[in-house]
This record gives sequence, structure tokens and C-alpha cells, in this order.
Amino acid sequence: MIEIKNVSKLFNPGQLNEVKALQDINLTIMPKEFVVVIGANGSGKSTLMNIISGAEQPSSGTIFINEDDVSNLPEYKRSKWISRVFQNPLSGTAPNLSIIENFRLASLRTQSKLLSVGINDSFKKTVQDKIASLNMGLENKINQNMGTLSGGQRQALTLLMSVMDNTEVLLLDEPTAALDPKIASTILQTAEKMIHQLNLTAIFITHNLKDAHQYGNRLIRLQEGKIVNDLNAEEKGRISASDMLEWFM
Amino acid sequence: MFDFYITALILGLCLSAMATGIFISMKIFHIPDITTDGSYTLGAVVTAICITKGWHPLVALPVVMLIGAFAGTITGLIHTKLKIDALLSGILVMTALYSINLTLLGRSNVPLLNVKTIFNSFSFFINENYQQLFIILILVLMIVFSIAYILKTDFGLSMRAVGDSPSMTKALGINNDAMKITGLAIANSLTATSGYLVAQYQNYTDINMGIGIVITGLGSVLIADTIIARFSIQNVILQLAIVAMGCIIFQQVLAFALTLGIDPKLLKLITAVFVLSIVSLTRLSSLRK
Repeated sequence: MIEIKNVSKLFNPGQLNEVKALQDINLTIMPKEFVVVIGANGSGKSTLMNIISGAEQPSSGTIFINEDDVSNLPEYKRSKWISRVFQNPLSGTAPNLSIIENFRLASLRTQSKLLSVGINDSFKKTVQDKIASLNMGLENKINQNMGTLSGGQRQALTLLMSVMDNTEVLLLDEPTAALDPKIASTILQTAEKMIHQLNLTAIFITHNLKDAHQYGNRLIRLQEGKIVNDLNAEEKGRISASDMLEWFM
Repeated sequence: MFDFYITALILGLCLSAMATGIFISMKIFHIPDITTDGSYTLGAVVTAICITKGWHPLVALPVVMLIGAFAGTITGLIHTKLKIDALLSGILVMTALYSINLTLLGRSNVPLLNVKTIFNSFSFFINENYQQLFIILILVLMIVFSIAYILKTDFGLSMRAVGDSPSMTKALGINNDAMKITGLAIANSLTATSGYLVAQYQNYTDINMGIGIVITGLGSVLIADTIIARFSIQNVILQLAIVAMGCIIFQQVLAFALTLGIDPKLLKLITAVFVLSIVSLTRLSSLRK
């Protein structure tokens, strides 16, 4: 469960170019909720995501994950609960490490990385089985460097890596914005399946209203740093993508 | 004549510990670590102090490595905690180390004759060259294998990933700052080890022996990098072995320049021109692709 209480975020406070990215946001996200966040550019979607992940510190307010106050924890400590898939497919993987080495690190997200070799045959087998589920033919390339794969392949693997270790919260920050429609839908369908099977709390930012309509069981729209719409599963089911489009007119 | 190249070979092996350190700071963390000039001399200074006191060279080694690691830690702290450019952090620590080295040593030059060194503490061969070569080979192999092992462990993977994709490592629970500090500590501990070896090989410690040594290290890593890229070598042990080899090639080229009758005064100039030519050649050939 994520609780955001009175969170505001100012960039360049007191200067001419001051930006109120988030204004007094209050939001509670329950376990198993798959929240889709939409909003125009500059509405504060990414800032909201960064405040939750710890990449940005709020100017005021508090953030709780499962009753733990994480407001002052840096990003790498919040990874105990949170895993992320970035907008840029290159941000979530290390290009000069092999696929299997990337997965090894992902499997230790909440644990300490010790002075022992952790990649063994059974680990390789587990990873190969998981990769095979994508049907992209990557399961036989696990010793290849991540940098040799396409953006879409890397993003699909990043998604699998995000649940290699215990996860409560999955943050998807426009994960398919840079990808072609086919691989984008593979990734989102895989994400939906994972969220359902592992009972994750998920937040999904998107600019694609079709995706916003198709996925998730709660819809939030941000405008100028404020939540202007918050629809539950039933309300979300009643509106169409074109209704959503009206909001942006 | 043959002895001349053997000397260059042994010197190359002595310096390969430093090259391995530069490989970590330069290729893994993308930090050109100028601390090297200072920590190399620091290693030689601490060695001189320990072995002239009659300590066994093998007891002096961990002390040298720890003190070298300390120098690297300081550079790492200045870079990560005070957010100062890595290059400048290294220059600051290197400059400070000059005074520290001079204070520790007491004077600018200490000869290490008639003392037990790592090279004369054991006797495997009667021929002095073979004896030195054998001992240095064992040490370099130990260094290459232990660093290669570390880089293959979960800890080593995190270290490599920090330089490769810092956004990913933060999301995977890795403290990037702590990793950079640890990496610089390991790198400078290896550099100090080279200072330890060279001081005992040439039988003296000189306060100026570290000047420009980072260029030798960078040059060796660049030579190695060209070979690694040319044959797309992924195995870490092989990569490190090639780095050590790069260091030997570098020293052989300098030895060759000297046999051509070039004034030793010009050696640093030749070193700089040599490194420049490697860098520009790799740049030009990659531009053409």
C-alpha cells in the first residue's frame, strides 16, 4: 500500500522559473490496485512517479509504503519495496553486462550483493524459462551483452527483471512510449499478467488513451500538479477512450 | 641487450598491477583517476619505511595496499559526497599526497640496498633475472585472478553495472556512491602495489617516481582496450590478462626507443606522444566504421 500525504514539489523555488510540479497531493493506493495515470505534458505525472521511487525528494509532505515512512529514504533503499521500468529502454539495463548478469543483479534487488559468484546452472535455467515466456527467442542468448539487443527487447527483459526479486510496488513510467505497437502490447499484456499473478500494486503512466482505457482498475488524471479525476474500476469501465480524449480538449 | 628487454618486461609486470587498477577506475567507472600519481609513490614510500625497518616484504604488502586504498577512498569521498568533478578530486588528492609522501619519507630519495626485498627474500633460481621474473609472475597472476574473481561475483557485477547504467543500479538497491568509493579504493590499492614492486625492483624510492605514471597506466589500458575491442573479448580474466600485456607492450616500446639512442630526458615526451598516437589511432579507426 502506498500513501501520499500532502505532497508538494517545487522546482526552482523563489525564482522566476519556479514550477509547481505537484500541489498538495493526497493519494492512497491499495494492494492489487493497478493505477493508470494520465495527463498532459508537464502535469506532474513523472514527478509523482519520481517522488514515489525516491529519485526526487518532495518539497513537503510524507510518503508511506506499508505504514513505513519512506520520505527520507534514497532511491536505492526504497528498492526494497519498489521496482521500476523506465521510459527509456536503455535506463533499466546495463549494456555491457550480459543478459544473465543483468538478471542476476535484478534477482538481488532487495538483498546485499556479496563476494560470491551467484550465476550457476540452476539460476541460468530459471532465467531461460522466464525469458522463454516472452516468445522472443531470447532464451538462448543469455550470455550476449544487453547492449546488442533492440530497445523493445531490452524493455521486455527489464519488465521480467522487475519481478525477479520480491516486489510490492511496480512503477511503469511510459514503458512503451518508444516502442513499436506489437512489442508494446506484448509488454503491457505481460505486465498485466504479472501484476495480477503476484498481487502487485502498480502505477502505470501513459500518453496512450487506448492503453489507459484497456489496462488497470483505477484511473487518475493529473493537471497542473493536481489530481483532477480519480475513477475506480467501475467508473473507469463506464467511460470510453473518446470520453477521456474530451478531457484534453 | 637481452637484459635490457628483460628489465622492461619485469618493469611492465610490476606496473601491470596499476594498469589493472586503472582498468577498474577508467573502464568500469569511466573516471580518469589522477590520484594514481600520488598513490603509486605512496606505495613506494610506505614500502621503503617498512622494509628499512626490517619488516618482511610480505608483511609490508597488506600495509601498502591498505594505505593505497585509503588514498582512493579520500578521492572517492571528495568526488561523491562533495560532488566535485572526478578529475579534480584526483588532482587534489595527488597534490596533497606529494607533501604527505615527502613528510613520511623524510627526504626526497631513499636507497633500498642491503635490505630484504620481495625479490631476494626467496630463492627459486640462481639467475637473478629468472628469479625476479618468477616472483613477479606469481604476484601478477594472483592479482589478475583475484580481481577477475571479484568482478565475476555479485558484488563485482554491481560494480560493473554502476559505471554502465547508474539509473538501473539505483533502482536495483545499489548504493552508487559507495560502489564508486570502493572501486577507487581497490584501484589505488593496486596502484600502491605497483609502487611497492617497482621500489623493490629498482632498489630505491624517489619522491618524484610517480610523476606521469598515470599516463603509463592509461596508455596500457588503451592498448589493451584496442585489442579487446578488435577481438570482442568478453571474458574478464582474458581482459585483465590483456591489460597486463598492454603494460608490457608499453614498456617494451619505451625500451626500444631507448635502444635507438633516444635521450632518456625525452622519455616522458615519447610516452606522451606514444599514448596520443594510440588514442588518436583508435579514434580515427572507429570514426571510419
